[in-house]
Amino acid sequence: MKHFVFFIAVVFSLLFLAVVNRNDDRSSMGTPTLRVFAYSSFTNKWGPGPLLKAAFEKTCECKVEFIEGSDSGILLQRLKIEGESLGADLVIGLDQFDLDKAQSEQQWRKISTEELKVYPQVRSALGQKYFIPYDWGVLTFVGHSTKERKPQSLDELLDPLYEGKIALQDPRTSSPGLQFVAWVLKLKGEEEGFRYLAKMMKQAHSFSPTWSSSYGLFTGGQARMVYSYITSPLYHQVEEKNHGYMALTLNEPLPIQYEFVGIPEFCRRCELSEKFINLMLSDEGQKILMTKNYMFPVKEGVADHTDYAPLMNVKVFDHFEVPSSEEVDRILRKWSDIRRGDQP
Amino acid sequence: MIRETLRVVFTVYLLFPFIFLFYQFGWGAQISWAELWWAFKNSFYQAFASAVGSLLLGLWVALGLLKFSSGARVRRFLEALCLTPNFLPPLFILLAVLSAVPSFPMGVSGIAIVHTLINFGLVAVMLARRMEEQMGRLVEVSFVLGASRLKTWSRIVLPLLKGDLLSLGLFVFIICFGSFSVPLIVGGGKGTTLEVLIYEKIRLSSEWSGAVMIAALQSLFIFSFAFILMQREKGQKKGIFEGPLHLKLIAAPSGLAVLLVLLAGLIAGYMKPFFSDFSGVIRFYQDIGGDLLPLLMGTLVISLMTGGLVFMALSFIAYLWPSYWFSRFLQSYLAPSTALACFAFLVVVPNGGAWPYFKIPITLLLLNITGLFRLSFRSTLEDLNRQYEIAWLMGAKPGQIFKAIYWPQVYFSIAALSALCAIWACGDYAVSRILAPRTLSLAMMTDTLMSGYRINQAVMLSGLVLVVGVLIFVGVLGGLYVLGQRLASSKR
Repeated sequence: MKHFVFFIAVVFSLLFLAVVNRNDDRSSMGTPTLRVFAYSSFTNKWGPGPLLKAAFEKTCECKVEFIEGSDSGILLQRLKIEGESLGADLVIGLDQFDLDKAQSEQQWRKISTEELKVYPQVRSALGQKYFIPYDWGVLTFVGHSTKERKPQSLDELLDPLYEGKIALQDPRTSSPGLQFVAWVLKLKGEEEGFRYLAKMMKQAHSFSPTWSSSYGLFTGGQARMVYSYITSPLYHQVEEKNHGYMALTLNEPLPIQYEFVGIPEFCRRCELSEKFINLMLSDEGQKILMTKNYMFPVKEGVADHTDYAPLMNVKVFDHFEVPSSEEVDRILRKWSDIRRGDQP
Repeated sequence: MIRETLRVVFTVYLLFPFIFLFYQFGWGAQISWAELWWAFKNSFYQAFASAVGSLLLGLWVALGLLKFSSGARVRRFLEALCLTPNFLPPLFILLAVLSAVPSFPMGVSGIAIVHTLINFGLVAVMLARRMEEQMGRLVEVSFVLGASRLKTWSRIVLPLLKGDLLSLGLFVFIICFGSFSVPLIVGGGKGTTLEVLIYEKIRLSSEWSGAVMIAALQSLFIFSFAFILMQREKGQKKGIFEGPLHLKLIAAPSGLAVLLVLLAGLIAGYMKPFFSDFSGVIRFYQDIGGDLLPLLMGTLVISLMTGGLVFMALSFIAYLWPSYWFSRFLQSYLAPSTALACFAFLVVVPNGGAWPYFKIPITLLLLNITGLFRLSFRSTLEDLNRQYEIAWLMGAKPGQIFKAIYWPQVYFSIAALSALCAIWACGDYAVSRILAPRTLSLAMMTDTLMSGYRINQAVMLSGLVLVVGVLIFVGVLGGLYVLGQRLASSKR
């Protein structure tokens, strides 16, 4: 009996040690380690993280270690809960709606962006003291490339034809979802905008907690359209040779989502963090971000002569603003009331 | 005295998230009652519809199961098929349903449909057994005396089954009322339940005290329902299965057809991406090849450790059995919301190094142990109460009773439930994602793929999770069975 228990204990201990050792290999003794906190689709094998890490480790004489948050929504939450104990030297993946909250909940180091030449759509987003945009995307509705007529405006989306057929995101948990609500309010004004959103409740197939869930419902055939990025069809063309998807260009100017990187004040490898940001903003880093994240680069010229370039020329809202977290909370409360069936 | 202290310690562990979060964040929350009422109504409607759906479908399938006598090989195989949706992590059922049904209705009705598909098999198995125990001989006599089918149903089956239907309905209602992963996905933002509301409170606005209050109210509500269920079960007499019965008058082969059609639909839905893009499956596994081994090892560690912890916890409960308040507490207490428990462990224990490998199994244990207890372990222990009383009257000490009476008779049940929890841990990504600083397991990688356009690849990798889960189930069941047998034989 004792032998049997001993055997089980040894097998399990070996398995456990093997797993723990594998993880310890990443931060070898004596070499400084830069800990980068980012969402999982950034750090995973197919995201830009591993390529940026490899390029950085070639020159920095250091190791890069990623800490994953499931998505950008959870980054701030974990930063708030774990704070310094998280050990993050760099935070990647906040969007413009997170910035006010991020600044009120954490101390950040100043980042200089003086010499960066960016696309015109990004210029207004550069004025942040603590955060710098590293990529951006234009949001719109994505559907199947069929011959049927596609909606040309927001109002046409209210056609009974699309009732229960549009996959949207919950604005309280998903940044594209919040972008949609803010976009409608900006276009139509608050009163009319909330009336529109109330009508949109009928059209929505669902309000998924994350962009990926809603996109999965769309590609899985549950919904006819999804609110996503203008570059989404490009992913299917490049990775799957599938030309069956198309992004709608509506009459209204489309909203832009900017993704930011910031250095928390408690960083331990602050210089390495700055160098990593420099890599992200270099031609090499921007190309990696563009081709792996399927987002537009911020640095001027990087997207020239690529499939991305024509997509950048759509009519967009390029006036950048950081809404206060109180304002965002107020809008979300009102949206929640509408969702419950209350009249706007 | 020592056993009483241990019971209190175990109870405190189960209540840990509440105690810790109350201590940390207090009661001072402003709750929107309109929001709370809306979420409560959604929780109630979906749980009620799920219970009714599971009972109707479960009764039909139970009548199909009665075609074969209990204990027959075919019957056991069919029962295993029935229990499969309940034993698999909900992720697979969700993927299968969403893949099989175009334009699946999201919201309260969608949640109820998925819950029904998950629970009808369990209801069918339990109902079939109860029918044999309660009315087997009566139906047989009714058949011999030439009573019509209608008369047998109206005079025997329905009056005798009424109480069981109500109890089973309450059982399913309680499970579904506190469900998290299904409403999160198929609620579609339109059917926000209390569990999802708790998750939203923490995730969105860091309203911890509000989340804890809602979780406490939800637990109180479920506690009261569980109490009613317990009172009902106390009054019910246990029937005795008396060997092969001829239940031709109530058996319905169409029930088997329903079971097979539903399962075939689920399997076809789940397998769709594999068949539609088979070369893609090959390409995907070639591409991911090198990363599989460490993820596989991480999956093994998390699953085996969870299985081991459940094994220890259930053994511990058996050692502490019987106790009136302890059994009532375990029966009535529903684990706190998943999000609440995860965030409590995230705050209280460090997250670097090897910590996640301990935190994830401990959290999974906390979330599942009372469910496993209610599932079958309580009845296993209660069946031994009489033996305990006799041994106690004869002067045996609790330790001796545990070694000589409980352990030899419950270790297989403990091993089976531990293996079941190990397979759930194998498919877990929600708890792991909150508690782990990086991708540690195959299920987490599946989730990561889903968040980066790669939906088909996510389904393909989930296939591997399923295979590994089944292997872990067999391995854990076998290993713990051998361990239990050896422990039992060494103690004799």
